[in-house]
Amino acid sequence: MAQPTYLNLATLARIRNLQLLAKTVVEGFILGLHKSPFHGSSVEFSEHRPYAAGDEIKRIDWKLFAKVDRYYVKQYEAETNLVCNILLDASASMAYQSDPKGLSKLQYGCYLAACLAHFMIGQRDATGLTIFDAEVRSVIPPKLSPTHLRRVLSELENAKPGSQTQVAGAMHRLADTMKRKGLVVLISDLLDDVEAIKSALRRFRFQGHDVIIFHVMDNAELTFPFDRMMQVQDLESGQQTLVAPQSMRDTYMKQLGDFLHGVEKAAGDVKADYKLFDTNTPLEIALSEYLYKRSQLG
Amino acid sequence: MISFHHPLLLVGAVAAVLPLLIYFFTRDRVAIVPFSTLRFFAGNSAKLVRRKRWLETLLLAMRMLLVALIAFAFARPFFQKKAAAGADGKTRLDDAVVLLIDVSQSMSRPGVWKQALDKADAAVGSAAVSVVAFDQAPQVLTTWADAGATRDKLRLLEPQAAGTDLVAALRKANELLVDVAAENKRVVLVSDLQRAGLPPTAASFKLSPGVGLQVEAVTSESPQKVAIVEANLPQSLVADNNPQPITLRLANFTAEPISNVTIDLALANQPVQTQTLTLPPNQRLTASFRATLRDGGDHAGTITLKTPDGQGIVYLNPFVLPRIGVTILTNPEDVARPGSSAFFLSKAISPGDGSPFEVKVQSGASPVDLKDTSVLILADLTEVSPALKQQIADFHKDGGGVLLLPGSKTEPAKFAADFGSIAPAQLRRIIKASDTRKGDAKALITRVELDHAILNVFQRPHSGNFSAVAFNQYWEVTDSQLSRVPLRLDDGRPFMLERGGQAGGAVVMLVSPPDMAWNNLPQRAIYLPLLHQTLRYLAIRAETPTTYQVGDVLQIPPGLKVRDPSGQTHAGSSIIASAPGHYVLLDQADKPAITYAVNTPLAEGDATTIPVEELKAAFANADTAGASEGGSLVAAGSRGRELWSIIIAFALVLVVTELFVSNRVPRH
Repeated sequence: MAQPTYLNLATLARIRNLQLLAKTVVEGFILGLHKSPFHGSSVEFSEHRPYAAGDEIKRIDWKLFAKVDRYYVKQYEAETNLVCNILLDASASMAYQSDPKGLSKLQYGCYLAACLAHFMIGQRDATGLTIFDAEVRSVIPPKLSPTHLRRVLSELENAKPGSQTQVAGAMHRLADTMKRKGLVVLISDLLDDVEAIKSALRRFRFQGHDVIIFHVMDNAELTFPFDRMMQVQDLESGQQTLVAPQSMRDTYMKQLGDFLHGVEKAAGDVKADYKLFDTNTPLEIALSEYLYKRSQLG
Repeated sequence: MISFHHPLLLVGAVAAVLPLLIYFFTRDRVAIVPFSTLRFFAGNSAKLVRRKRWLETLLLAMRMLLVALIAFAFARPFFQKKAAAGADGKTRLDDAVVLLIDVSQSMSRPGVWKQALDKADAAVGSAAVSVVAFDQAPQVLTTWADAGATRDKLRLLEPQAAGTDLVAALRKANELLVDVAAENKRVVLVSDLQRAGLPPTAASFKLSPGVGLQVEAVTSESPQKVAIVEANLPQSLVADNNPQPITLRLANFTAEPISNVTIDLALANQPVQTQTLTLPPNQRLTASFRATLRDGGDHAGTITLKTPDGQGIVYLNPFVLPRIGVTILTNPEDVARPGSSAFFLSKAISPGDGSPFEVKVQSGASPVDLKDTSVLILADLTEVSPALKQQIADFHKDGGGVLLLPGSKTEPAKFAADFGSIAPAQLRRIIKASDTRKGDAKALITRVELDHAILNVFQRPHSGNFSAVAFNQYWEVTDSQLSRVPLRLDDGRPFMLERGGQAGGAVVMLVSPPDMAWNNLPQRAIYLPLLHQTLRYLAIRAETPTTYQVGDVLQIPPGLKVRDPSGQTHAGSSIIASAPGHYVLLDQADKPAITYAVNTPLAEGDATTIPVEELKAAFANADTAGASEGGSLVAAGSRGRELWSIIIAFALVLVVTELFVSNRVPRH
């Protein structure tokens, strides 16, 4: 089986170092990124509780029984039972690629998702992948096995731009299927109605999910480097409009700023983590910046 | 109206399409750029693009206009405003020029007319021009027309055979300019400046203040050396055994004497006399012929001047009256009364062997036979029937001469009623000499106008003693202001009056008739010559003139025709004599009735010119001295109306505007 192209060893090594750094401060993103909301059997003792009918006999603490003549069962804090769902937007707008030698937003998102999936599974967190555009195109339920990682990566390899973006609609449909609390990572350009996205995010939060938004934008979308008259064609609708860039830049940047601000504010309102990724920014730098910021926030 | 100095350069305006071509070849090719979303372009983009396109179209139009303006400016346009009437009714112009161009006979000399046309064409310039062609009379050809129309008129002009009257032309030009309101008013005179074109009355005329005078003199390539400049040619006269004088004045315009100048006089196709002269340098010489004209009728002839360089012809036709028919109308009782006016008149002009008169004495108030009568004498006539009154009026209207001799029986009121319409004056009262003078003093003739045709025979010394006539009484007259008074009495009152300036024959009135009760005139030696000269004068004045100048109108009686010198026959009421020569009036049987001799004004042969400065000094107004400098007209007119500087200024403004707008255009 060919080595998936999304796995950059240098990137992974860099992130590992950050992980070790963060681990000493807080329960981090990769290892103990979130405190586990569940208790299970693990090496870390949590507490004793009286034995109840149905408990496994082998979990009875016999030493304590010898001391107090009563049956108690040991309880441990679980470390590996986090469920992570990566939601990747594969709409047509994600195919935008200003630099032919660079990455499209979709490609960038795939790299990002691959990294996340690798480390999640590496720390024994069940990780799933959902690719959507206007519809949910593929769903890989969270699992924890090496073969599962390969399946995820294979799915990312085959991800192609689809139709129009409807982030909010897709998120609502996914929310219906995600019964178990966990981590939801949304990778998208979020070119949808901000209020609808906010509504969907709020639903995830209501279900007890932690939500992280990786907002992927092309560098050209953020800087608008055009200087000649052009007929701009919408990748999703095919609609065209004539644009005089120099005259339009201020308007564009203002509207873009309003959009980004709106998205970030929406994320803040629903207590979701938000990170804007520029496709020109190396992936490891973007991830490490995010992890560092996250570690600082504790 | 706009005209151009270099209209061909307007072709350069085609270059106005260059900006259009450059625009189409270099305009932005709009690339289709896929983009993730259009949501951030909403709102202003379409508006911006529309604004950009509008501004680009505006820029393109400005650039095309700029190129066209430059081509336009190179064509040197100038503006000729159409004449506009102001509130005061005057035509309003910037520059008003009256171009006076001489078309007299002298302008037909070799090389002169081409020079004149060239100078006139140059003078047209860009001002509004009125063209006045003039010879003896000015003729307005165009009024404040543009250069094109003016030049069209000039091309049609050519010299005529008439004389020159510079003053009439300048007066006409002045009239035209006075009627317009303009900043610059000028008269441009293109002429050979013959001194003969200035009549003696010229001194009193000046151009109006503000009217400049520019003189463009033209000269002949081969100036005339000798010419007949004056001639005294007999026209109608009475048959006489005495020879009639024909006098010519010849001029040598060169600094060398000219010999072998021959003058031939021929009358009725027969050579009469030939003279050969030597003309001294720069001088004039008089040559006289004498011809005896006994036969009645036409004596059409020529005077031919032959010089080593060419010849000139003067046409003449002395028309001889064989007899003068005189009819004396008086009261019946006075017909044979000794001492009466009729008595002395009939005796004085009774036909004899050599007398030119045929006399009829008639009385009564009824119409009389006036056939063959040239002069009608009304001697103290008191009773005049309406029919006779009408007959006398018709006789006068047809050109017959009338001699009025009011006497003792004449009543002023009746005289005014019967003859007031033709009389030189009205009668007021009889004045007795003794009433106004001391003792028995008589009234005397003390003022004699010897220049009058009746009296010029008395110019020679001892040819007549008017003071010998003593008057006992005479009529005091009124309303004589319009009449000529050849003879006056010692108290200043008129004795002889002549009515002039009106249609019809001549009328002479003596306020004291040849009656012994009134004066002793019949007994004086001067009586017969005075009476005869008066009757000749009245008779000749009754005849149709036989000598005319080119440009004069020849009347054609009903049913008759005129044959011109080229042999062409003309009918109608009149023709204009357009060429020198003999014009023959033909009767119904196409037989010659009378011949008219038509000449170019002899003064046209006078090559003496007026210096330009003298002409300007004579006619230019002192208040307009600065405007009279020659040669400045076209430049001044052009400066006033040139548009290129305005166009260049506009183009510069356009350039600045273009720069401003182009900086406002959204580039991309």
